[in-house]
Parts: sequence; structure tokens; C-alpha cells
Amino acid sequence: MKPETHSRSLTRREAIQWMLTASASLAVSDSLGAAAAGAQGGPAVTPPRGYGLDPDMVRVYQPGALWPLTFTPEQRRTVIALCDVILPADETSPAASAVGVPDFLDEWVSSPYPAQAPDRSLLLEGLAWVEAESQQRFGRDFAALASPQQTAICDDICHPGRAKREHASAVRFFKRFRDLTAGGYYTTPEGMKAIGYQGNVPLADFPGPPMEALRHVGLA
Amino acid sequence: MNTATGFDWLHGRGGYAYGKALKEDARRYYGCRQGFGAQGTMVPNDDTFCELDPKMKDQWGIPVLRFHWKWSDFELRQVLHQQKLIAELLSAMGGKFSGPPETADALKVIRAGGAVIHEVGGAIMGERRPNSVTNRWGQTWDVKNLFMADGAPFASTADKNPTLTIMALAWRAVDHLIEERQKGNL
Repeated sequence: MKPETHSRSLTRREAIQWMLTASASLAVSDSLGAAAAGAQGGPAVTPPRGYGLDPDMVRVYQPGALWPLTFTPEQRRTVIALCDVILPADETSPAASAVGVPDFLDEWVSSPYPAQAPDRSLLLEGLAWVEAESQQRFGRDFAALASPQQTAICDDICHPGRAKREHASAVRFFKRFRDLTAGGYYTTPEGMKAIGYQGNVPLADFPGPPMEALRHVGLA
Repeated sequence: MNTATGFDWLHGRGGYAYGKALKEDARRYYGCRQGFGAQGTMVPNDDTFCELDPKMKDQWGIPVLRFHWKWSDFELRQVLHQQKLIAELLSAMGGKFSGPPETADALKVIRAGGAVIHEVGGAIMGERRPNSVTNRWGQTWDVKNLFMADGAPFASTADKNPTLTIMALAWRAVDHLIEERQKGNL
């Protein structure tokens, strides 16, 4: 982004982009102990380092637009199947794979953020375990198993108190995979609807507090 | 991303729900957790103060601050009162206790001094020169033309966010400053 001249005033969007650029530059510089960023009168023009600048908040990104994705087609099939065992479609809400949770998981394990790095190895190793277990027990891909067979594998790894000792890391995988699946699912509009979450709703007009509330505080 | 863990805990099943059970848990338990935290004020006491360290110096050779800290009965009894009140609130809401509240030793309940604070004080205002740095107007006893208009003159912290009080004190100090200036006292 080029620094703006003073010949016209900034739009609000440009101002926000400036601030985002400036704060991101500062954060990068600070972490590298580099000299001060942020030239006077405009944003610092610093080439992206580390994992780059903050995303453009007004753009709609597609999966893989910010960093290369990870899942192979085989892993992706397993992820879709496992997501839908964890959150299947029912009469009130769609399945996890129908609202993009596999894409979310791929983004999650592909991102360069240090805090998410442990999830990458945990999930990739766990998916490999699920596939191996599926082949060994039923001679087929997890995605091709009948529902009771998929459930049989999940039941072995969904309870830390009852799982066999050799399943300890698969149990850790299952918990994290389930938590991320739930996190992705229940932050979609469909997921919020599924739990009756309404959130903040803009009002066209504000009729004032209800009479009951006014009476309660002695104002009516 | 750990919300589902809370569902397992609330359900008390010990394992990790999935499938139909997870969806039912999410509908049943989402938004039904209730937490309480208590904060309170600390009254200044003679055992709680900072001073220049007689030995230790920083990298520029300037003595560092040395802190002394002691809770008084005022804070510890406040903690016990808060616990009692929160227990009453929980009971009134229909809550049941899985264990008794810790009431025997308030020192086990209260956080370490300085853990939850707004940083104010250090140059407190007072009525008399021997035990304060500024007078009621934020004007330092030692330097007549110096007024402190930040959080430093606070004699205690009332727990709540200090900005409005800082602004009010600054306003009062400036009114006084103008008055004294017009009288030719400054």
C-alpha cells in the first residue's frame, strides 16, 4: 500500500487499513528487535516477514489463500468422515462437513502460528492412526466403513479413563479433533442456529427500556 | 476451542461426547455456565509500602524500589464476606456445592498482592506533610509549583477503574491552581 498524499481526505476504510498496516509492522519489528518502523505521516512500508501482515479484514479469503493447505485427498476423506461421526446431520442442523469444518481444520493445521503447531502433528499423526486402525480391523478406509464400525473405533478412544494404554495418544488426538470440530461448527451461522444462539441483533429503532425494568429501578 | 470440554464436565460423563450426544450437550449446556469473581479495596497499612533499596541498584546505578506487603484484617475479612455472599447467591440460584467453600483461611483464597491492581499511589496526598507527598490539591509539599495530576496522589485504590477519579482530581487541582494564580500565590 502506498502512503496517501494529503490532497484528499482518507476514507474510513483507508484509515483502518493504515492502522492495521502500522500496528502489524510494529509487531513484526518488535519481535525481531529491529529499528523503529512507522515513518511519520504514513504507514511503514515494510516487507512482510515472519508470517506476514494481518489479513485484510474487508476481504473474503478462500481456503488456502493465506498459506498452502496440508491435507492430502486421502486425509481429507478421513477428516470429512470423522467430522461427520462427531457432528452428524440431524433433524435440526446439518453435518459438520456441510458447513466447511474440514476446510477450517485444514486451515488450522496449515497456519504458521506457533500456538497451533502442536495441533498439526497431533492431528496428522492421529489421522494416520485412524486409517491404520481402520485397515487393520475392517480392511477398508475409515471413510468407507459402515457407521457402527466407525463408532467402534471412536468408542475406543473417546474416554481417557477406559481406553487401553496403547491408545493414549489416539485419545489425545480424538479430544483435540473433536474440540476443533465443535469449535469450527458452532462458530458458523448454522452452528449458532443449532444451539439457539442469537447474539447481538441490530434494532431498526429503540423503543426504550421495558416498563418492567423502569418500574424496578423506580423510574416509572 | 475447548468449549466442548465444558459440556463433558457439566454432564459429568468423564469421556468425550461425540455424535448425537455432543449435539444434545451443545444445545443443553451452551451458555448455562455462571461464574463469580470478587474484587475489593485495600486500606493502606503501615506494613505495606515501598522504599529505595539500600543496596540494590539498576543498570544505571539508580537504587531500585523495594516493596513490603502485608494484608490486614480488613482485606481478609472482606474475602470471607465475599465468599459467604457468593455462596448465598449460588444457593439462591438453585446451585449445589460439590465441596465446601474455603472459609477457614482467607490467605488461601486471596490472590497475591499486586496480582489484580490498577497502578496508583506512590506519592499520596494528605492533610499533613510528615505522612504525605502532596496536599489535598495534588500540590507537592516540597515543591510549591509542582502539581501531580495522575494516579500517584491516590491514598488508596477503591478497586474500581481510577481514570474518572484521576480526571476529577485533576479538574479540582486546576480550579485551585487558577484561583491561587489569580490571588498571586503561585
